[in-house]
Amino acid sequence: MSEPPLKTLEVEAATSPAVEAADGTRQLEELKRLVAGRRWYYALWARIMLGAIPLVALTLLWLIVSAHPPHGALQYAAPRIQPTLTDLKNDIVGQSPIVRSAILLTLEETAIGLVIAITAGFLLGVPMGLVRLVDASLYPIIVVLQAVPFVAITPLLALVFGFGIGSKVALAAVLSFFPILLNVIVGMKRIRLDEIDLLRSLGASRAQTFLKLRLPRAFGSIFAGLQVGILFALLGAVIGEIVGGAGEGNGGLGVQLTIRTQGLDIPGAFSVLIIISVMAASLTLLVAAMSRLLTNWKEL
Amino acid sequence: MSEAMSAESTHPESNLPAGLIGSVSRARPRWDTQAGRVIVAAVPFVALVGLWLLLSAYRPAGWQFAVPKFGPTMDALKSDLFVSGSAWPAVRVTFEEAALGLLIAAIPAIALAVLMGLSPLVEIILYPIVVLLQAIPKVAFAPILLLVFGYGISSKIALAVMVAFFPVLVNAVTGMRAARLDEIDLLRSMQGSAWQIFTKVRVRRAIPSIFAGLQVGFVFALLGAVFGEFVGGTAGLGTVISIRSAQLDIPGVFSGIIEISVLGVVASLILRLVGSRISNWQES
Amino acid sequence: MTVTSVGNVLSARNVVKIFAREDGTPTLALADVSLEVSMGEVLVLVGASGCGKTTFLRLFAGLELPTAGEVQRFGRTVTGPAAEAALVFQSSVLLPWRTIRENVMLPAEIQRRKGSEWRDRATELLEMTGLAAFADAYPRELSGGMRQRASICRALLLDPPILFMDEPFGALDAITRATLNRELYATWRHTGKTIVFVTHDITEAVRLGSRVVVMTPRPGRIAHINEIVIDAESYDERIESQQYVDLLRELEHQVHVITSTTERDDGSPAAADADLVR
Repeated sequence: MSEPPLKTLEVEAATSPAVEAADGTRQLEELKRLVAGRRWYYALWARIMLGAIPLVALTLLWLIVSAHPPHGALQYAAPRIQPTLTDLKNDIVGQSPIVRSAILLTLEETAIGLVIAITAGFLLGVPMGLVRLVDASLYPIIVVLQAVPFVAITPLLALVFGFGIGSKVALAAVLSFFPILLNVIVGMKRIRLDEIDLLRSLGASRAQTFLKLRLPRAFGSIFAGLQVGILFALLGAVIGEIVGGAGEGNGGLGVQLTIRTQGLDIPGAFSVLIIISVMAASLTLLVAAMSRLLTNWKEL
Repeated sequence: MSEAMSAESTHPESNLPAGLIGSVSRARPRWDTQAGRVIVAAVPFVALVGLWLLLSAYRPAGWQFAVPKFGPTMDALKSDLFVSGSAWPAVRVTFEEAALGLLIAAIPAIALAVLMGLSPLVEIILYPIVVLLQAIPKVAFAPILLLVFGYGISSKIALAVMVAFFPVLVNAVTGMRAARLDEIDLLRSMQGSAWQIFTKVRVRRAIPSIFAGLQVGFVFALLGAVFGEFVGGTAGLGTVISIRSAQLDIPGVFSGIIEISVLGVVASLILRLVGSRISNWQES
Repeated sequence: MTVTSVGNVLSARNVVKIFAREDGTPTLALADVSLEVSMGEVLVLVGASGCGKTTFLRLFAGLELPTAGEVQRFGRTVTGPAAEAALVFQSSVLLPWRTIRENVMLPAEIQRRKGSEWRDRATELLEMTGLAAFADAYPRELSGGMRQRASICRALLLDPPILFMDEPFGALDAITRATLNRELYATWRHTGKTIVFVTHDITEAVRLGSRVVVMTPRPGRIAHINEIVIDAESYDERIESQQYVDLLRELEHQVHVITSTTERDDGSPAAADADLVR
């Protein structure tokens, strides 16, 4: 079924690399379907097996390095497998609850920071996407603010918000704010003039047009922004912990990482690194899955 | 969208009465000119500076860590740049770390992206692990890198490399995907060699994305370098800020932040200019 | 086909429309056009691109306001769109995240009309157009012609007295277009609605129209108003009659004269204008 040529104008702003990558994937899938034919490596089973090759290779590499550990400074980069895995197991299900509570703490910081960033992102992004004047006015200063390395003010944040959860949440919020904001703006700008005309012709109020048209059309962008945003929020929390320290209590995952590294407990440090990585991957996958579910109608 | 307004018609073909009242639908709202955009964009900046000045004069208690006074900050900045000149060597160190990091990251990243773009098999093999690795927060490796590489600039370069690698790779892959099937077919039908197809079609289409990736990559590399200096550094802007923080020299900290930001913005602009120059040259 | 003038449903008097382009220069889209549309007729606007026919339609529909002159619906000045005037666009503009039935019910939803009667009516309309089996499908599962049928159902949901159709079949292949012409004619005979129809297909214009208005471009003006008089009872008789053939020839001649004497923007005389479909 061919798509009729649209007598429309689709207004788009610049996209972040994450959004571009998502579009590129779809494009590539189309290309692949056209070109695939009977190439064996396009089958699902083949993809899974082939995709696992690098993982297998890396694991083998690790095993080899474990058996023949390097000397000198490099040894800090290559912990042996067995101690690392033991530490990992103990951290997750062992007696001491330190790492488990650290996981929860870091998650908490990430979540609160993300919620703040989403709220601010929508409060600012929706008007910017809808009203050209607001967009022209605020966009430049946002671009400039984005260049400020907020990592650099982490020590200050500790002074302002205290050494507890506040400074970490603040950093998580600030870091995740920009990708969310930019993608909300892009999403709001994704309009088709004939759809707007349609709703106008039906006598829809601005609120109705927003809820029934602009918001669904913005979903794709918004979720792309959330995917990047949740990663940055986690990043902010961890960075905040590394720089800011623990405050009261045992601190989050970043704190545990610093403690173990400074104590030269490399297997332990890598255990924490693995936990952080798994958290990051799962959070991203979660948002990606939600995005697929909610926007599977988008074939255009 | 239309706006009702009174308009004098200046169109030669019309016999309209002067001073007609009606709706002229505009593609562009009336404030949207070159000058208009500049003025409108300047408003938030002016407002921000104004707010800062206001807070400098009437600063609530307890806010001294969040908002240093305007005067002392400018003094610190001036001192850094012109009097003691301590900013310049620090800028140089941090810039070198970021630039080297980007360079070392970009070469394998682009090479890998090219491979993935040319061979669907390679892409199928590598894509999952790339996505997996991308999700790992590389800055978390900073403490470990410090142990491995020491407190010198190499640990910061290493962190910058780790952090810049993926943005460059992802954007370069997007660039390779921008290759158009119809252009490739065209060259093939003209008996073009594989090298010709590669350079004339794929590279040309990939350049904008690659430069976008370099831009993002540099910003990340800069962040990585600064963060590395934070966690443990001996030189560079991050170290300077860290030390001043510990000394509660807030104007100094803000001065440092301004310096890093300017560095980042200038570098981004230069990269963007170079990128568009190359794109234009490619078009000719 | 005679038309009883019970009164003028739509009226445009000395209407001028100016657009300002991106760089600010004004373009005269319509220069002093006047037209009355009677109740129950199919008024077709025909012309090449840039003759202002779509702008004219949008002014009647209330999506644009005139720069000068007056546009009225049912004797009242048009200030904006209203539910009494439903639009059908060239691209069916079905919201992809809603099922066909939900799309058809959209007008009632917007107008906040409660009650299951609207759901029933939507289903009924879909049955009439043969889309009953696809009521719960998504737009992407339908062909172009089916989507247009759905968008016509949507336009008919609130039973508006006037239908505005902007090249509704322009994106479809000729065979589907012919089928939908026939269906639209039947719907019109059945409901007696007033239809303002924009097209650049002369054949379509003569098939459907009670009157066909030929417009010239740059600036948009009315060149001819043709009464379509065909004494035929059924659609088939209509399109096979001699009057139909004669009218078709007459219109083609009118259009040919216009295109060969109209200058293009760059001052060169227009050659065979590919926009107009013979």
